[in-house]
Amino acid sequence: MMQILKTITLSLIILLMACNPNLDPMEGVTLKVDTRVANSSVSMMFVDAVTGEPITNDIRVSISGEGSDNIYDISGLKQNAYTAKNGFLTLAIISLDEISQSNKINFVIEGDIAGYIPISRTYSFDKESHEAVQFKMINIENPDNLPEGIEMSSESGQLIDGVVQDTIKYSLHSSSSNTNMDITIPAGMVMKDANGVTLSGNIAVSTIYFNNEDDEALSAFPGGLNMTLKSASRAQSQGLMTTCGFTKIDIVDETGRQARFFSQGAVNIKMEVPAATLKPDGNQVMPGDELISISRQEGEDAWDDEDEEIIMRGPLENGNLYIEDDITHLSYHNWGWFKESTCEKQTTELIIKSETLSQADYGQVNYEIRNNADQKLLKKGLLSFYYNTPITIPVFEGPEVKLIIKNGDLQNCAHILDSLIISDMCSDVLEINMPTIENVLPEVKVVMEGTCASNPDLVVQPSLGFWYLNLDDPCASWQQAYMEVGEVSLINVSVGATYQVNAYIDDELKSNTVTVNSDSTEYFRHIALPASICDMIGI
Amino acid sequence: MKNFILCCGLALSSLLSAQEQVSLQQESPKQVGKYANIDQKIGLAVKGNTFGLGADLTMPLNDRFSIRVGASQLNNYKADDIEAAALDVVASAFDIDFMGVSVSSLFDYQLDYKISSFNLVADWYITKNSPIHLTGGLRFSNTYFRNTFGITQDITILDGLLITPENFGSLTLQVDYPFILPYLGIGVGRLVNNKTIGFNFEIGNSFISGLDVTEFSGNGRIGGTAMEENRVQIEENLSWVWAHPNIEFSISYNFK
Repeated sequence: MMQILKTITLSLIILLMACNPNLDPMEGVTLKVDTRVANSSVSMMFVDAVTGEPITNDIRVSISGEGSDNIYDISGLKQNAYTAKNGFLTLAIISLDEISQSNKINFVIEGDIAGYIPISRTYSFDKESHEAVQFKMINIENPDNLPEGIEMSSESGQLIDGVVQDTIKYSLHSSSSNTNMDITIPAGMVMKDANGVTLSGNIAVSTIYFNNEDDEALSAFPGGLNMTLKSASRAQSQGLMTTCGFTKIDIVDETGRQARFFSQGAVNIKMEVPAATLKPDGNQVMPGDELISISRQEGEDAWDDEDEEIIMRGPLENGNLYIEDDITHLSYHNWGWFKESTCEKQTTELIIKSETLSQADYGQVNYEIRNNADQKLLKKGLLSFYYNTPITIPVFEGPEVKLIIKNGDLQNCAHILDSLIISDMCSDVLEINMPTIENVLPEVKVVMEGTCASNPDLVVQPSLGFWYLNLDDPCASWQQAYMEVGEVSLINVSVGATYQVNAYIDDELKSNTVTVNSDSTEYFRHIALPASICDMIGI
Repeated sequence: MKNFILCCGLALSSLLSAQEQVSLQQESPKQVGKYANIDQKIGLAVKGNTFGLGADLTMPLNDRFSIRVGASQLNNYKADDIEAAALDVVASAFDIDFMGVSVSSLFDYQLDYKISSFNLVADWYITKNSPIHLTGGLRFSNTYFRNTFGITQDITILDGLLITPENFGSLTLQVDYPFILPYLGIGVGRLVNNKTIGFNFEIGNSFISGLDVTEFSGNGRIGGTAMEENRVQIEENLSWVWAHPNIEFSISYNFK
């Protein structure tokens, strides 16, 4: 009986459907797909260190380190190197297992563009999160406009069959620290490239000297001052570098061949060290103190210990002490003290507290971590957080440090919101108070959908890094937000102001402007997805 | 439209033809008073129809009118077979590659349905002795079709990133009949007569003023599809549904 009933019912339904031309109940329905490939990402913005403006030329971004296999373009494309467009790039950290303390992803990001000093940062993800970083790159095409603490010189010389014909001697002076760095390239020394081929003809010698005092110089320390050191004589270790200064020398012959190794002599470097420099133990540097000499090749995630004994000498007439070293290869070279970390964790938790705002309220501040004894910069960046909720910051083990949170990062505009002295970042509970905010600026939501020309009924809800800037406020800094599944909240926006909103997606920068109206808190934007994304999604 | 008129015409002509045959049979020797005093009886019937299996209580008011009150239900019967039959349609509706992996062959479709109604109808017999009746009334429906779409197994994208069915997500679409369905039908037979057993065969239609999409929800990566605009669009797409045809056979036991 039931079989008969079923047959009759289905037959009738089919008969009715056959009588009606509109059989597809899904006709005209928009299929929305979340193509997010990762729960962790790092959004980068590359700016000129002096002007603060995003660098408009393409920047090559390479990834190295043990976790480099886990790094993809935010859309899921794997490449050997990525390109920051108009200064923006977002990369995804993809792990088959959830990122955790037991499944850390460590990698190094290095940005390189002609005319700027390459910049790199070491990252350690030990939980799923979306991080943002602003890379301040130093333009060396205009040496007269370098940031404080960074000096540059360009020299020339001549080689015959790789042999330096005349001694090249020159000096760089940092007026802010009143220190000099003297370089001597002796006659008779042989220069070879990385493949062992000798250089020849005219050579151009480019030298950059970073002192150990100014923020921009310390910010340029390759990979950051929390570093990995490897040595032929001992195991690789993590720790904090207290630098006395560092340099980068490039030598290129007229054929474009780049010097890497020296023989039949060495380049002599004499670098002055301010007498007020503090060692990791907090005492002032003294003549006779021992330092280490370390070097780092571009694209490497660790520094190499040269296993040399460098002795602090002096004082000189100007009161400075100095070190002297003979180097037989070219790379970044640094002199200082390395204190191996004993802390089990590389990051710690910080709570930004507020009496008026709750855990549902999102905030963003600039921060600095300084050595409290001499106020030298250890790290600075941007913190995105929910109030009264732990966020992760790196541990600088050893010195007592001062954590400063600021509103903005432009010199004449930023003001300090609060600071905290931390005697031991490894063990202290870190809580910092946000001053009561009288006038909380509104938050607006931007909803974004992406489509491909070939199938407008299939909508992709993008997940990507977002940067936005108040174009009407000369004191405004770029703020960052992460768009998740097509939605992003932009906080602290001013009603009536126009914002430039930039998002990077697969080698393209999507830029738009939004004027915030008082009567509307949600904005919709549509983007046409790049063809490569459409191909990958299969639309 | 042409197809529609053709189909409706075919259905009407077959009905008229059935009525004609029954009338011819009734013109042969008649028994006067065949259904006399049936208003003293009631019939309790079991029935099978396109709303499922059920029962009717038939109460004749006189030899030309009777009232039928009853209910029937069909619950997930052979839902698996329907799912299998409908899978191709579902797969073609969602024919996409997801991050380079074709998911149309991995589609999962699950159906949960309930066809149920309480009926209150009146039969009007065209003559005192005729078994042919016109029927009209209301069906109070509790009918839904709950459809869930997803994928059946893990897919691997990029260099080994696993997308599980839970991560991929699912969409659930529930369509309901309106609660009140006007009903018109034509039938042959008297459930209550002067014998112990009565029969009735009937065809008709419950009129539906479009289907209601009462739920469109989703989760996972495709969950964003479950938005109000789409729900309204689907409801509009289903607005053409106007009929739930009924074919019914009943057998009753008569009580005094």
